[in-house]
Amino acid sequence: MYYKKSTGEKIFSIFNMFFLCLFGIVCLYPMIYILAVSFSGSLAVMEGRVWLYPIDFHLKAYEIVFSNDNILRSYLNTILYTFIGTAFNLIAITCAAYPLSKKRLRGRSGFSLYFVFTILFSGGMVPNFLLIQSLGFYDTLWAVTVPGAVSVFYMIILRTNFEQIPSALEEAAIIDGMNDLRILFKIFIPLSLPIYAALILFFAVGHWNSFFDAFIYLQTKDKYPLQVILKEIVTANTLNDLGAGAVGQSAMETTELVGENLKCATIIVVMLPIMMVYPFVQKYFVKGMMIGAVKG
Amino acid sequence: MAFHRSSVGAGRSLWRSLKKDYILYLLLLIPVIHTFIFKYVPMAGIIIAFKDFNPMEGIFASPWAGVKWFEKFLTEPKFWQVFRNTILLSLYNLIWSTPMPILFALLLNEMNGRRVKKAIQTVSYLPYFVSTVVMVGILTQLLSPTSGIVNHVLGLFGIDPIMFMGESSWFRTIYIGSGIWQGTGYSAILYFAALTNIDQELYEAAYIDGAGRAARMRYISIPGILPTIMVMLLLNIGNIMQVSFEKVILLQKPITVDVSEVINSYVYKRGLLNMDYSYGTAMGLLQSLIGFILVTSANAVSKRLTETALW
Repeated sequence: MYYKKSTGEKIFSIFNMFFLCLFGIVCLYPMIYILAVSFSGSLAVMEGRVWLYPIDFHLKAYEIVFSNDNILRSYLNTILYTFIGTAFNLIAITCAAYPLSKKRLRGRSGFSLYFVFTILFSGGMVPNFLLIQSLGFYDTLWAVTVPGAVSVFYMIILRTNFEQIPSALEEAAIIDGMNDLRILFKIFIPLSLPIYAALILFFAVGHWNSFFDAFIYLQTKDKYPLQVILKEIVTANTLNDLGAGAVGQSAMETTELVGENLKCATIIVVMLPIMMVYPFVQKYFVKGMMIGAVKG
Repeated sequence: MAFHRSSVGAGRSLWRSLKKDYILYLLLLIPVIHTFIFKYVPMAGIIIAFKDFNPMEGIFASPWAGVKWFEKFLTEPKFWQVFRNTILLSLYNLIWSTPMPILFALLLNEMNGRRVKKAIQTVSYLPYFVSTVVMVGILTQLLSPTSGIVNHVLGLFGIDPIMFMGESSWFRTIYIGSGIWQGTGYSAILYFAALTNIDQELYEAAYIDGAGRAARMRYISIPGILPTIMVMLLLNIGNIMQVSFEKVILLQKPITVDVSEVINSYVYKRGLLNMDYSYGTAMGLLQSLIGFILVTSANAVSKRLTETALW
């Protein structure tokens, strides 16, 4: 329906448009600024001439980032942790969501409460740390992939999805002599592929961005994921603090470079994969958020 | 329901259902054991808060200490400073961050032009995907006193460079501001969905009755999303003890600890870095308990008032 507007409402429309566009720009601008600085010359950055696009364009910052052993190794670590962590998440929540989606399961509500209670109360940082240590997980890959495998929130989303699959399909399969495991693999998982795609993206983004577990449980620099290395780089005060020999040498060769564009280039390299999957994730993201909100 | 069974023959029918659904129970065993080890064992580990825990002796051999650690931190001025910082940071955050997504959703709902609307919404939740480390990195660059764009712009107005990241007075503003930047678009999704669920006929009827835009917003849109607002508000109140550890640790500078030290970060420093395990656990327990009470009471209130509850 078309609403006729008064003059006041027209003025409101214009201001509204202006404020919302401004908000959109505020959301996007920091990323654009970082991108511009990462390609700019140091002098232009220090003088404050860079604000939207690169000035004295060059790629040296990226050359250094991509030749830095620490960054490359942590990149590989993050990819590994993301793969393994996501796989564990999927297995764990499927094993919980599938049985709990069956109304006939005895003790169903008790099991649900068992999982949900862990959202409400936890042992806290120190007992968790002592557990990881006594399991021998400290400073291993397992410390950052195993403990968070059962994500109760996403498990509930998957369970809700399983509950909506028509029971006639399952009954027909039972008559055909399929057991519950085959029903899961032949019917439930194939029919839930869109939600699995969404879950994979959520978990992968979560593992890619995660910092806390690695920061607390990993000690050896060779095992650090990207986020921990990035933390060291962005909080470094001088180029020497950046650690790797390659950085120091190249910086001395050229005055083009200061820490700032190097830091920005690293930020961009860390963000890049997320920004690339973002268009695909955001569609599911809204959906997942809605299911979680209704049924969570 | 498992609990409403007749006492006669209960054992046999339980056995029968176990036998019939053994595959389901076997599958369930994996997450149940996992949750037991990684969630319930640490909860049992809380007993070290009541012991003089010594890693060499182990949890069971360490001597009991009663409530010694609780007495210790409750009489320590540093603890109360940290406690106050936690509450204030959360409270200010609640006050500033709650209205933003509501306002954003309402204004976006009033906007014409599908394309622009969609574009703004898509851009608005981009910051949510940025990791905390990246966000702090971006902030450090934007706010740098020597090269940051913010100080250069302030310089144009004759304002001397401000050490945003290194001054206690700016810490809360930066923490809350960056939270608004990251969370507004994301939280608005819920309000926006609630707005689209409002019956369009209500707006049409109101328009025919002569209600202007402001009146339609005041009497239709806002009441329509009020239940969502209530639930989100209660949820946020319930989480008031949960200050993001990551963000605090990353934004914190030694100069700003007087306002930036919160319970989480203090537990980390005393409990893990200083290895005062019992002390850290005791402090963590207090925080978990307050959090638990807040969340459960928020849920109960929400159930009463809006008939919507989390569980």
